Amino acid sequence: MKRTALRGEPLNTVLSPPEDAATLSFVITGRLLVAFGPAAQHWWEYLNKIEEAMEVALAADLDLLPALMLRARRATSPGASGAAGG
Amino acid sequence: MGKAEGEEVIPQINSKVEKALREAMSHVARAEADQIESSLAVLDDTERAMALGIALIITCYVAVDACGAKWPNDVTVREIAEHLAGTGTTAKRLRLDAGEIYAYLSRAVFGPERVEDVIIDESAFTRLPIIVAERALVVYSPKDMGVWDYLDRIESAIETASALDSSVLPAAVVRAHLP
Repeated sequence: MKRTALRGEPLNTVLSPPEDAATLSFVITGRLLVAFGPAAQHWWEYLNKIEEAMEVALAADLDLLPALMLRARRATSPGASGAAGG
Repeated sequence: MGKAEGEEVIPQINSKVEKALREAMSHVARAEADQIESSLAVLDDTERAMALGIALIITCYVAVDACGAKWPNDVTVREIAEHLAGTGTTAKRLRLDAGEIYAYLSRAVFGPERVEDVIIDESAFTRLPIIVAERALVVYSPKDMGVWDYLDRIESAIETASALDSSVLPAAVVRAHLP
């Protein structure tokens, strides 16, 4: 996860043999979807949501990123939301 | 992929408010801090609060952008405050106080407190958010982009982000930070 998923190193340089790498990548992804998906969603619904979000993000301008971050922070910060709304 | 119901976290940017805010920022650029209130005089109380809220959001965006799309930590916020207070002749003419800017940034812009709880003085309450937003735009705007173009870009990004589902954030982070 650290080297391939988060740093982008090629899978075959991190895990070997290739058969294990392929199997592990599916197993880890599946476990993550089940473990961290919203309680009310099946793992495949969570996967659909992730794929939709990736498509939107790939088509979007990266200028959006700071705006998305501050929006997410403000959603969980009542004081800051109050400031914005007056 | 639209936003979830009830997710109105950032207000829509009203053109009347936006025009008054830009005019107020123009006064800051000329170090005319005492003219800021006159630009906001055309606004009612709700619009005025909205203008200050948008100034805060602009400041937040610029700081995050300046940090390479990463949320700044306390050390970085302090550096930004010192940078804003100490960069350029306009900052000197406005006699900006790094400590006051740091308090505003750390407690209201990046913290959970309301602006009125951080800035007690009434005139500073109106002026500081606008001064800091203008100085942030000037100091941190991309080299190939003018201040007003940068502000256009920020407002466009804020409006677009407001309309998107929050699930796009992790995907955008992945896209931005993976090689």
